[in-house]
Amino acid sequence: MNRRRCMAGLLVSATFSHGAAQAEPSWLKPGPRVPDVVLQDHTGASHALGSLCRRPVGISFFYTGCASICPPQTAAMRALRARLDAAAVQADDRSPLLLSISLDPLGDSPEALRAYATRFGARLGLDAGWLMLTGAPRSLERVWRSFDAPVGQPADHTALLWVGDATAGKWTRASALSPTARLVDLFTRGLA
Amino acid sequence: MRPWQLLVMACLLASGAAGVGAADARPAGGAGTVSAAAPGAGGAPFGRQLYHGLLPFAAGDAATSMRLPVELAACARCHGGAGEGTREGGVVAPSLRWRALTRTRDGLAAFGSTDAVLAAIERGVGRDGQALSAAMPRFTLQPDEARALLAYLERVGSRDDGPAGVDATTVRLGTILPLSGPAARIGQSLLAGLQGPIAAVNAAGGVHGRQIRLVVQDSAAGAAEALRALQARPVFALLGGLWNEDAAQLDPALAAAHLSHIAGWAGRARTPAAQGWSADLMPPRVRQHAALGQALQACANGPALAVASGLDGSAGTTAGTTAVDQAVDTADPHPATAVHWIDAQAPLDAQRFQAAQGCVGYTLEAAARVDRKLPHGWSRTMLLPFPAALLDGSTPDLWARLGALSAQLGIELLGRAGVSLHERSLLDALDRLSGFELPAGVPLQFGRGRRYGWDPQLLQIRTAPATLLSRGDPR
Repeated sequence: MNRRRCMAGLLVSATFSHGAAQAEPSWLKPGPRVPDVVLQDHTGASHALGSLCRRPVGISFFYTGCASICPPQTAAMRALRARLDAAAVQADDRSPLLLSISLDPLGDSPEALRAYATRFGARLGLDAGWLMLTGAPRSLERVWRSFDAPVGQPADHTALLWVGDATAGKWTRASALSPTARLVDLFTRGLA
Repeated sequence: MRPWQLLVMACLLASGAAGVGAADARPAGGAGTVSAAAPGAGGAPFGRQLYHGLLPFAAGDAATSMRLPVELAACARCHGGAGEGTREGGVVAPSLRWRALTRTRDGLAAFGSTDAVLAAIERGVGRDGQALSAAMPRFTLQPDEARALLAYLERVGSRDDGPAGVDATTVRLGTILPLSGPAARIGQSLLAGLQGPIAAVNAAGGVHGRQIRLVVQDSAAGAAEALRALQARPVFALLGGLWNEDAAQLDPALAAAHLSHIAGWAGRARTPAAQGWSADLMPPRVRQHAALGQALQACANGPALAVASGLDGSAGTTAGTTAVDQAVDTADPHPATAVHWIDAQAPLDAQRFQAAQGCVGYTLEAAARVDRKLPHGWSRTMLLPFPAALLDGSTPDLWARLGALSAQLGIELLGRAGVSLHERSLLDALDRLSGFELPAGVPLQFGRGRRYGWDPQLLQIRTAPATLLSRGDPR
């Protein structure tokens, strides 16, 4: 286990401990390196991850076959998107973009992503500020490694949300199941 | 095995067992639908139906604080079908069995009453008054739902907490096979194969003390009609079925009936849905075509041709799939060679093979036709939807061998599922099947996101005996 993964594990453990105090987020500079890969969204359209990350982003990892943690995590992303929209954090091309990235390229075709989003009533697209992304295994593996997501063991993933600005080289992590207002704060105050 | 046997089998496997009866597989219900039966209907207690997601909570998405889709809100999804508890990633969903709830855990007090358990479900108040994890939804239950669910928690995971088709001494498994019409001999072979391992395990005492009873239904009237007949018997799960239509056409009806189908042999274009009720041994055609296409992209000495069944007319696109699926499956930023796709059912144009050298890949049913056209100097790759080990010539009746493999997998899953069974027990057991070989030497590759056990196999065909190119999905 590398140091960053160990830190991520500790963070999650703390998050789910009973009565854990909400600490101030610690920011990583420059944080993870965004790999130069192209991923596909729920329509099959291709996106260069580096281009997407020119905006402030919130990145989580999931897969549509996940039984327990992914549904609450996706519901939390949906709530976060709604609160960001209500807060109108940034207009224009600096508005935060949420990315839900698959851990299961064999199971998660664009159509599977589309069906999953439909079950949650999630509005996806660049204009909606939220993309679910899949891709070729070798491309996704590079993303997983950059963001400490488990490689080849999707069930081992945590509900971490990476919040960051790749242009500024500033990142932090929090449980996606944290109170929505706290996650919004990471964008409004942390990345302001 | 003789070539004609291969060809007959390949024709059946490749495109939905073409020629097996003239069935009508209209689904009995929509995909993922939940029975609209009244509380307590269907033979299972109301609380059991809520726990397992067989009935939705009355409040729909509003039943959970995080507004989960109602079909994802069932207790069993996180806490296990037998209430045994699960762990995924950093989240532990503890056991909900009554004896676990009413004992201390990790130094925290036991739940002292049903009211205390209800407070955990509805308000997230856990042992010693501590807040439950944010991953646990807070539920809004109707009074009758709360009563029924609490009553069921007192028996979840017990031996008498069984689904349809299961009692203390017997588990009934159904199969749908062509037992009449032109494919009747195939159906009989599959049936004989299924019966062998089941008879052996019954003679040895059964699985967890239960005898397996195989209930057979002819597919002549259509797979959907056969499924309805099996539901009335009733059965716990389906095993090793074969019918004419694409396997996916029965999936909505299986979901509506809460019946899993393990190791069926009807062809399938698309990858089985992870949340669905089917798990195959064979890879879907989309994976087969991706493997063939990727192998041919490396062709360095002339044109590359792929001859396969189930194409939809677009280059390299599997019928029943979308172009975007294929783009993800076959994406290669630097393909050496463009692959030309030819439908195995279409006439082969001799002009395609005019080059002195090239590469051709084909599925089993196209083998004989391609070989007749192919000049020397072309490399040949044959795609198999099953392990090459099955072509070792040791079994005169390959269909019977396939049937036996279905039975062996079903028996293994029943064993791993344990004494307490629920509707998705066999599918859940698939997720824990790591390392199980079927046939011997071929580890199955099931997982939570993967509902087929074998990777496509590629054989490089030479004038000498065939050489296995790859054992795995080349991606």
